[in-house]
Amino acid sequence: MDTQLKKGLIEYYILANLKYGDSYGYEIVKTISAHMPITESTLYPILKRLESQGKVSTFSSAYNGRLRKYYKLESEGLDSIKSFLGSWEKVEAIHDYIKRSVENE
Amino acid sequence: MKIGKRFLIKLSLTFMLVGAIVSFIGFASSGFDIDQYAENQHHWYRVVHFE
Amino acid sequence: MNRIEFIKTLSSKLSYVMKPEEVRELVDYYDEMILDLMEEGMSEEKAVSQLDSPESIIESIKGTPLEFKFPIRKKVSPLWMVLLIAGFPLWGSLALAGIMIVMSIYILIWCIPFLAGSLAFAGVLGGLVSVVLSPLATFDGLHIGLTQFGIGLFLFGAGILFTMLTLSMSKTFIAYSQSMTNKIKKILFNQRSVVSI
Repeated sequence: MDTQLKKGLIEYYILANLKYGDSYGYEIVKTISAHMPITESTLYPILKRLESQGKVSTFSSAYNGRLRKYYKLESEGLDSIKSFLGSWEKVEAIHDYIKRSVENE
Repeated sequence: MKIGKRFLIKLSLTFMLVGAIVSFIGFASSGFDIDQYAENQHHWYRVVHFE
Repeated sequence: MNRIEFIKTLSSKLSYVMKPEEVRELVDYYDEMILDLMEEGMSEEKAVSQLDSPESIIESIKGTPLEFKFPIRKKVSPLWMVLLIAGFPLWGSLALAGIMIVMSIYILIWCIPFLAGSLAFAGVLGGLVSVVLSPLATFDGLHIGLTQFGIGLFLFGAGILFTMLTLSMSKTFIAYSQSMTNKIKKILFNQRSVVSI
């Protein structure tokens, strides 16, 4: 997938993933990479940005004797997802336009 | 904490309970008489005073 | 590179670019990754090589929101300066009074763990002394020794409980004081903005 397109979508993908349940760094990377290959280094700035925007919050939980950092969706994040979905029609319209532009050769 | 918090709480409560019982026994064996403690209560090693 | 080397290299390189707390967060993040990969059965070397090198991590943190202190320089016009200076006796004393009140509140709040601490100390010390001296007290009479021993034990137990109470209260209060102080600092001095570099 085009990098720019990826960039736009990935944030919502992550938020939606967290809607299913709280998750931690490695798990997020694995799940997202199934559809959209992503490296940990790419993920980190995104997670930090989401946290600073209040869309996710973090908490630590003990696992196997170490502390694991979990990410949790906040209401801001849910609003963000909803607004993305709300703008889907526009996305479809643009997609149609682009499609037509290559069909009419 | 290897000697865990729960253990310490149980231990100190035990101390308190045993201590209360023992002091009650001691008091009982004096015949519940406070005057029995009046003697020599000024000795340096005496902690319990009934002035 | 093994895990420890990776963490050391990463931490030291990052410490030039970010604040210690942020270095800590980022290093923990990658450390977690390594440990998770290893749990899935990967060897330490392989897990570390799955990640980007410390150098490229530095590159990729561009785009990470970091906290910068922005002392917001208000454009102070001469008129404001004059007013500030002239009015100092007023707002100065008000500010001082405000500080005193805040400090009094801190002191009041800290009295509570302090009280608990005193009771703890008294209980433990008094208890120990009573117990240790009780055999001697027995010379004055068995009942006396027993009572002293019993009371000592009771005090000691109570002292331990109070000690634990004091410790846990202190921890809470320290955390609370720190967060209060940070809040006040933020309001008064710098406006912390979250910026992407």
